[in-house]
Amino acid sequence: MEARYQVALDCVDVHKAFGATQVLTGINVKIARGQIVAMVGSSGCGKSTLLNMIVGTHEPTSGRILLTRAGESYEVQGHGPDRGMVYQEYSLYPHLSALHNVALGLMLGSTTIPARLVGSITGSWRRARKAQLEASEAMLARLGLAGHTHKFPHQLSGGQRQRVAIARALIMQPEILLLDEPFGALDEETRHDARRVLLDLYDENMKAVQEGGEPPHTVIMVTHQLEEAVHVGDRVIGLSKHWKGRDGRGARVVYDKAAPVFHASDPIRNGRITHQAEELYEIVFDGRDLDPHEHRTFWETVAQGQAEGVLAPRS
Amino acid sequence: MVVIRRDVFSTESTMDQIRTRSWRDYIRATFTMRESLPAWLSRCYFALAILLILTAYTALAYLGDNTLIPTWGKLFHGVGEMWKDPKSGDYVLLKDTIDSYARLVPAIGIASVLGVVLGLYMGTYVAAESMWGRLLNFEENIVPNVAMVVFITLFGFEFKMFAAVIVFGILPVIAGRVYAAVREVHDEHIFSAKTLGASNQEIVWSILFWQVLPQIIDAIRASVGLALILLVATEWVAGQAGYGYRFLRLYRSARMDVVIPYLMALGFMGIGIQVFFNQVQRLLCPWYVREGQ
Repeated sequence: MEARYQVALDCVDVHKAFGATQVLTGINVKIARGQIVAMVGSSGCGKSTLLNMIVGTHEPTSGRILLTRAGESYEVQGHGPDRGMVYQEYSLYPHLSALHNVALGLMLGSTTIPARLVGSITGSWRRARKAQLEASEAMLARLGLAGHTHKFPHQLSGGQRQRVAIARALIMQPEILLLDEPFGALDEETRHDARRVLLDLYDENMKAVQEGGEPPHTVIMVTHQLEEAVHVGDRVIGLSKHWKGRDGRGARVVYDKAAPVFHASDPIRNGRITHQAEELYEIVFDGRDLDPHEHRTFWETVAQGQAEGVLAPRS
Repeated sequence: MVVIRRDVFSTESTMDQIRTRSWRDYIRATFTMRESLPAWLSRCYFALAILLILTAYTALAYLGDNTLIPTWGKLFHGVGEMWKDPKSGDYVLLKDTIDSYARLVPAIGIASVLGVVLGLYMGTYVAAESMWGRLLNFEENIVPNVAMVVFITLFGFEFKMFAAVIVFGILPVIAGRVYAAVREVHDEHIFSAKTLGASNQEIVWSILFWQVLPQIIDAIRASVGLALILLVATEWVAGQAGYGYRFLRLYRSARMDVVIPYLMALGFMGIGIQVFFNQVQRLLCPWYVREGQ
């Protein structure tokens, strides 16, 4: 019995500096397909910078970020539709309805001028557009927004807007979905609803794994809420600047552990969540002069067959 | 007693907000800063302003030995002459409008296309901003009517000269406002578009253009007034037809009885233009919500 997985993302000795300021040092993170990884850390420790490097907005000062598609590994260079991104705010285009926001990525892929000209003559362009809108409508319905397709972003609540943003990223079937504090601007009740969206995605991953297939969604989520990180993620990574022998060399991973797996229908109050959130706080936010390897036990847990969820051992 | 909805800035409860008010409340609201007024009262104050102006005008026209300000009778006669010249039989206002707008509309069109393209690219690419930003800023400080000397030398007294003065004057205004609007677009929108597979040109034309379209329409609307000023001034100096030329002739013949109705007509046409742009904005940008709406 051992865990079977494919690597979706591999950060190999990634460093990032802005001028003389070192932000990230020696980031080595390997993420398996189907995982939902929550990333936490104090403000300014480089979480969003790491996400931006993965999405291609920023380049690492040194090191490599590798993605895997269909078994082939390749290095991240610039932006691409293989990485979906959802920001805390300003995710949606205000001039497009929810439906057209979601369909935008599909439409952009088929709007070259020659394709439009030829397509309008043959009718294929109109058919393709119809199919794209239907797919987008189905995606919105899947995320519980069936009655809101023709609303503009300013007519939607904060939670609905973030769901539309997630739908827009998911419809592109990215290799990895990156969420930068996606629920940071939401009130507590809406946050819980939004968390369920991610837990539903994880349920889809589990179902795919149980049927012997590939889990479709790999997610990295940056959050400031420790309980949210433990609740939603099947793994939590913590970044901190306070590690042994740092000498102002920026933040690195000081915490990397498996988190308990929950379903959308499970109650939110749970002792395991609270316990791990407290541990996270002590190590990532309150820790001083840490050994950066001491609390990085995720892959050991997997090797020992103790992981839950998509990396649970299978025969 | 009239039921009104009161001050939106106050902390009163809804029940307190909707209650009957006496005339004392209206007087207090009138003299309270940023206090909202019922629509009928706002209209009354507008009517009061008109009444004050008409009274002042009447006093100027009828009291003393003033011969420059026409009486109401002369003014009504002037309206007739403004509409149709009794000597030539020309429909004066209509003819001047056609002559002036034949210069104005194409010039605004040219300036809008150039201004929108420049503004979009300056707001998106630092290189474009470096190339054109300072130049446009410098150009904005040159008085277009003085630059007319150059344009007359280059183009003579033809359409091109009038168009050049207008384009020269309003291009930096439109480009600057479009540039500022594009700069206001958050980086996240551009990054998101890239993750959706958009090319750079798709980002500019399929996303940014539509996103700042309300501000583009506002910029063009704001430039119409300036364009009219430039056109009238240029026609005054170098025109053989149009509003400016008409005002020059009226000035020489001291026809204040025609000048005043003419100015009023131009004012109403200006409001018509504003309404037109508002409708265009409402039609093309149904998603656009102005601050405070």
